[in-house]
Amino acid sequence: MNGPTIVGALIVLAVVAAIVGRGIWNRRHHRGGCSCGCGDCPSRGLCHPDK
Amino acid sequence: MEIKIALAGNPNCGKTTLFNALTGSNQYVGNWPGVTVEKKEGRLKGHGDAVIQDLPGIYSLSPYTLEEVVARSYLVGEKPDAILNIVDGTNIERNLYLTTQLIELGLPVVVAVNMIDLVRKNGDRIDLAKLGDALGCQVLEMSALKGEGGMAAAEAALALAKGHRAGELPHVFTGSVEHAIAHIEESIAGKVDDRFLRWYAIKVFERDERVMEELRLSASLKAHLEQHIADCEQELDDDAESIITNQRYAYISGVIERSVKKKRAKHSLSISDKIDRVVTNRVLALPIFAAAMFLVYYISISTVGDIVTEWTNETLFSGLICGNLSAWMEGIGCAPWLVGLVVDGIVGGVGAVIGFVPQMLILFLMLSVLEDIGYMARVAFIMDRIFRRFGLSGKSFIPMLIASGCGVPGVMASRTIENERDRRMTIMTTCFIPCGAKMPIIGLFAGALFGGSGLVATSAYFIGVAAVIFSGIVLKKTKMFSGDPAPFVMELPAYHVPAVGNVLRATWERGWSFIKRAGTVILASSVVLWFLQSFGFVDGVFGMVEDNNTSLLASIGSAISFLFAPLGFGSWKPAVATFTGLIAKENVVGTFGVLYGFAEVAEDGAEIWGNIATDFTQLSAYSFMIFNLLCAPCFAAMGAIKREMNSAKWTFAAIGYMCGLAYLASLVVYQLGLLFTGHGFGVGTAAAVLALLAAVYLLVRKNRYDDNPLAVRSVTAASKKKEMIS
Repeated sequence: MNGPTIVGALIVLAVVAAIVGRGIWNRRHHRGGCSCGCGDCPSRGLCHPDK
Repeated sequence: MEIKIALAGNPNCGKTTLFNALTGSNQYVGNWPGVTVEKKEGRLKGHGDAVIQDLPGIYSLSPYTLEEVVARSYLVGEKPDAILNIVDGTNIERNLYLTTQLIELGLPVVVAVNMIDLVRKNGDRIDLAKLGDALGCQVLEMSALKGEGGMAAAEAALALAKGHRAGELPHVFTGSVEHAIAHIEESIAGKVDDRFLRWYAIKVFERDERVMEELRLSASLKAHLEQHIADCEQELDDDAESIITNQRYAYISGVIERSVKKKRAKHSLSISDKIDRVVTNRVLALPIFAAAMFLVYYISISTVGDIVTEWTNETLFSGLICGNLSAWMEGIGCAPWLVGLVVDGIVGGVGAVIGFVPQMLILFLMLSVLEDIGYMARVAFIMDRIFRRFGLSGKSFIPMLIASGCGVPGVMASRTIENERDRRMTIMTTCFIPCGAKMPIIGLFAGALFGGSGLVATSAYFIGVAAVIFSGIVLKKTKMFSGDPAPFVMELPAYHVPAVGNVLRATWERGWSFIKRAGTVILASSVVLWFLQSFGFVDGVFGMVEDNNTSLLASIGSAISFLFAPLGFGSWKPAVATFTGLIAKENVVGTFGVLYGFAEVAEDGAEIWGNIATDFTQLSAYSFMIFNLLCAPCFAAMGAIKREMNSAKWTFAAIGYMCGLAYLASLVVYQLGLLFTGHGFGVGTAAAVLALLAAVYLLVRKNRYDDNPLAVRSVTAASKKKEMIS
């Protein structure tokens, strides 16, 4: 594998790891999860009483 | 020290609009009552020490609904430093009912008469000074929608809170009622905060169970007070609660007479009333609603939305991004597999979803406009008429309206339905209404196989409504869901020009969260899918495969695809897409983007979604669309269902019901479609006919649990017995 391939692969890996990690963090902290966007959700406080 | 100001008022009087203006928040502003289920908090702009609490809209401080419980618990339990009571100036008489109760709480109150622009437009006049004198508190005018007077009202409430100045209690009650309340006040003095004495005394008079429980009065005192209340009831020939209500309204009528001058005669029709005569007309209401929804979907899917989406797909993603990115990566020497992963996997998957953002934004924009002008509240009213006939309450339609954005808040909005059976049924059926994430599926098939047909897109919405009505009829005939639907009382807001800020905010919030999900969940999912569809075993050796039909994903998909063969999409790609759609519904399109080579097709200059047409006929595409619209929602919505059902059994029942109904609906459409297009009668057709007959039977069979016939029978039996005795 050449340099650009290694760098590119690492970037993709880092992005996917960040997405998965963030998803797990959000889940543990009871954040997010729906498609509506919490700011728009009329029942936001039901899921996120801390906000 | 932090100063708390509570925004209180009737539903849909403009509290959340004012809250957003005062705090700079972006809370959802819905033009139907019951949008705010729980209280929200924000800091008053320019006053760091002041916190504004947006309470749910309530008509009174009696704990009959969830909203009233939330608002009352906060006002009585947490005791804010001041109340900013928002009063709808166009319905001032009914709004003052709550005002008198809030003043009785003994907290500093400022009354802000909202919608003053509409009051003036109607030619009415409200004498604020006289109104303030009568109520014993400061009264100001404002227009939350136009951003006028809101801050002045908040600052007046802040000043009152800092000075701890409560107004004088108005003399609402008269005669023996006032005498009894005063006596109760003396009797419970010392048991409650002095400021709340009046309010507690009135609640004791009304025999409010929660208050009686809280006060823990001795049996002898209770009996003594009961005697006073009973005397009043005997004298006025009414029950205690009605006596209080009547005297309150009598007082308010006097206040209105002195301080409000109406231009229109009392029973003349306003412009909104005149529009409603047509829009909610028994005959015209449904065709108008159908036409409105057709226009909404036609414009967003077939015309403006289609043009913008086509540009996004063909020019932006396929031409500019895919072409240039591929050439650049190859130019710097990236390995072909990495080029494939980035271009075919990530850009293909994410681009496929992002391509539908313009259509989604236009759809959300139009739905927001319809909501903001007040039409969607009418739709709830219209649907109540239909739903009630089929055993569902119109209250169930509010969660469904919310679910057209996202199923999660839609499911959660079912909390406002007090009747447990109705609530469960609403949760089971809310996700049938196509949410924003299902829009790309509709747009994809309408565009790829039906030439951008607006009818196909509109039918998706009405299939959802039909599934709700079908479920209402069928489930209400079962023991678990039987019973009369809960009554639905909703105030129809006056029509008004949509507030640009509200509409754009709602549209952007929904669109932006969709884009964010495409950049996160869909991206990660596309990478996984690309690997699974690019690698596999060839001649017993694991490695990259030329043809994705020999990939790992094809093996997994093929193992489950037989389930969907009777529905017309029995190949592995649609089967995989159906399952990845459980992560997020838009992932169905993202998966197609990866599996059907979104980027490759575009490079050739062929039509973007042309490849899909090789695996689908129009009939199987429609069947696939129906199945994916009605089957189990995404994991997030399933989680919401689990939370709201609070029972694993009910959660499985709900999801199983959705999947079962989706399967049978698709089976009937596909198999009967085949039969009518001359493909002969097979086993699948027989199964579809059986399913259809079963559905018809469930629809028309007698309701053994219907309460009304039982009631009629018992009355008849009782009268016969009476006749026999006489």
